[in-house]
Amino acid sequence: MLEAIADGRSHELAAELMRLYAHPLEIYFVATSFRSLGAPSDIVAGFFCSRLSQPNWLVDWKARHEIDRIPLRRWLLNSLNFYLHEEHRRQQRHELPLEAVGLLPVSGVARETPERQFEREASRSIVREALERTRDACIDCGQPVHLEVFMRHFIGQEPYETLAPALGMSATQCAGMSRTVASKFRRAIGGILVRDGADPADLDREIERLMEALRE
Amino acid sequence: MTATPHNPSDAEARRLLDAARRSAPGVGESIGPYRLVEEIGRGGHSAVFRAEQLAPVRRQVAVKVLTDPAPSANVAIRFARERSVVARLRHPGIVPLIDAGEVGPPDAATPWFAMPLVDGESADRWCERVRASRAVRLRVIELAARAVAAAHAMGIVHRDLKPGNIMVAGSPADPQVHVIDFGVAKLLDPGIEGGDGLSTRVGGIVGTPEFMSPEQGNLEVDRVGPASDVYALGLVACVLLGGSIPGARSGAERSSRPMGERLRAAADRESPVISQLAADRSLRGEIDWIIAKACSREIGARYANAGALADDLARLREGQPIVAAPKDSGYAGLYALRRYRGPIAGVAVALAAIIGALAFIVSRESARAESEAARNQRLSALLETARVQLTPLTGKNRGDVVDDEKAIPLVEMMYRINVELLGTEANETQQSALVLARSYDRVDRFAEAEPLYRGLLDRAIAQGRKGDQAYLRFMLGGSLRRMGVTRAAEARQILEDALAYWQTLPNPLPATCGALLERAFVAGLEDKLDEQREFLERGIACTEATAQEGHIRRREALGFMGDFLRARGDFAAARDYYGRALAGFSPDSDLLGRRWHDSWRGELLWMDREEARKAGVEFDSAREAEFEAIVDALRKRDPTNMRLKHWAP
Repeated sequence: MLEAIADGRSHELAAELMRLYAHPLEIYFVATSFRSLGAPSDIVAGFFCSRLSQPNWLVDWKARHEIDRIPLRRWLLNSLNFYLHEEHRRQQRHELPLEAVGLLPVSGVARETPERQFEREASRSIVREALERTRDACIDCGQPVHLEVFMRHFIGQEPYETLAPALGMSATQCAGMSRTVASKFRRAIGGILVRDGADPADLDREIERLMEALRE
Repeated sequence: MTATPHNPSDAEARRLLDAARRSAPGVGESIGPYRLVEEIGRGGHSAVFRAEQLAPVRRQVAVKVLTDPAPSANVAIRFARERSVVARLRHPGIVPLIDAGEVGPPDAATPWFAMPLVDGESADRWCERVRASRAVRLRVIELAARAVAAAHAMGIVHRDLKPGNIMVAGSPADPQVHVIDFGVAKLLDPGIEGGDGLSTRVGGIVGTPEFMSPEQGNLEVDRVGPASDVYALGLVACVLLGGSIPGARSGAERSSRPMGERLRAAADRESPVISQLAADRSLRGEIDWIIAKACSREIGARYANAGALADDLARLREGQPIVAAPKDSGYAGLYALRRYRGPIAGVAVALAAIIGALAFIVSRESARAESEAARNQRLSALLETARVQLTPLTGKNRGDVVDDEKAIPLVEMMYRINVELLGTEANETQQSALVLARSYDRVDRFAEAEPLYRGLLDRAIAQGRKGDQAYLRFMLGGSLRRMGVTRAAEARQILEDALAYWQTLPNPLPATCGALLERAFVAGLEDKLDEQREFLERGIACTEATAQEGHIRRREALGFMGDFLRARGDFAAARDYYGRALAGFSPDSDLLGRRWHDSWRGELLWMDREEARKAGVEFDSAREAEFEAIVDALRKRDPTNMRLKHWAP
């Protein structure tokens, strides 16, 4: 992370953060009492502009992470909260109509907290991103059929025994190909989570957290 | 489906994450105290990583991880067994276990184990990269066999030996060999954890078909034992010494062949003959025999275990007689002859016994007593034994040509066997005729050499082989010249014909230089001194163009000119040529070199002594002693040496 900043790749890093977390943060924002501050996409874009323009913002996260291992997505969520408070105060100072800046009660019928909704959306986003990376990696190394087997088995839930004849292979071969892609997918997930601050030795627990966040 | 991005539902995402969770750790992740840095090998169910251990000591290790997220019982058992096997083995040629454990959630725990990182490469790649000599390649096989022997001693059969599972590091002078991957090892002792009951239960196809023994290819699990590893080591030797696996196709072709076909090929593989496989005659004899014994189709005919193979390779290395030699090859007797050739006065007796055995087999009585196939087989073995054992009797860089009268009957017998086995027209027979002719030449039996040379020359003319014609004319011309002045004219014409052909070539050949010098000697016989000098000068120029400074051919040409000038009384010029012939020449060189050295040094001393005598001054006593010593040495070697005549007071 810090290497990316030091290498002058902070734009690339910012793009990645926004690609991964903009939507989860918008979901979070809509679920909070601040939702009247503006359009979710405008608010989240404003937040990223405000924070990513501060050169030390990610460095601060890294320092904090050293102490309490806080994941980057939680840091983003906390930062967004601060930003929403700041934005709320700013709009009040500018004497905007009260109904426009007043805090709206969190819906009583909401089944999940905003944090939980954020976690769910962030998990989806991480899986999507990892899947994209896996797809690129498979195509780059000439394994589109491997990817197809993996997707049909894990997404389409087709057993290898059914898949194999259609692809002119044995079930064992299909399982082997699928394993190869599963390893790539694990690496992709691991890459995202480690950048997010996860301990590489604790990857399995982090993956379980993502799975938990996606439960009904 | 694959090209379009997919937006998975929560349930789908959970399934994907579960697949990732069950998939084994990869680069960048940590297992216990080890951080996986780089994947260095991957098989069907497991992968090996280069990893860093940071505490309590900082070091690089190799971590093997079961990467199969849903391993079958067989796969899981084999991984556990490999861990157990490696933990039991203690040998410098086997990488030890240093740590082991499991990682991941309890319902999907991934087993792993760590070993010291072997900084090496597969045996075939290492041999190729360091351009290992044959001796070094044999040493690598011997060291690998020693490591496998340690496993055999523990009741463990590797079952998947191949160059990729033999890692080599270090220099050719000190190769560090490690046998790795006991993943499909078989435990012979039922008392060992995961012993034979387990092996039987696991069953199935284990190993790499291209390196499997026939019993493995036939899936005869119960017959697989230490001798199966011996067989695989024999095939590894074929790869390292001959560059290929007997009967195997290229890598890409191999992997595309159905497993059944590859197993059948292993089951049906004939015992390899490495010298034929590599088309390298120098592998015939002991190396052929060792590999043939290791790769015998019959289990009982192989070395009993890898230790026995290593022992025979050690014997070969140390110059001891090997046990793999065929029993009827006369090897033991010939071995004794080779070893004790110098000290034994009765060499002729030993040779006579062997030649007698050969003669009997070639004889008609034997032909009646044995079937043709059996007889031919015995003859082939004997021929090979004779060829191998003749090696120390032959001169350096002269192929099979001998320069010892006592060995001539053996060379004659080899020629007769070739005629018998292959017929007079076969290339092998022609080659042995040339060897015999040159050997006759070496021991001054020119009259017997001549018909052989002429027969070979006629064949070369009939077949239009111009290069061979020139070479045979050079040989024949030299032989005729040595017969004396009566054959000089004939020799001159034949040598001129050879030189006429070589002059059409853009560059001279070493034989061209020899023919020029022979031509000079013929001119000497004919008393044409100017012509002799001219051909000597051309001969010197030719050797300067074809041989490096200090090469014996260049020295010989200079020495001949020295002789010519000395005989003409031009001592000053002769000294110059003798001096150039001797420059940087060690008297400790081989037999031929020593003879030349003594001759030229003797000539220098003789000329000094002659000049001192003519001047009426006393010759230096130390130099006189040196001269006398040289005279004695030359006389001992050859009392008919012509130099002794003109050196006589």
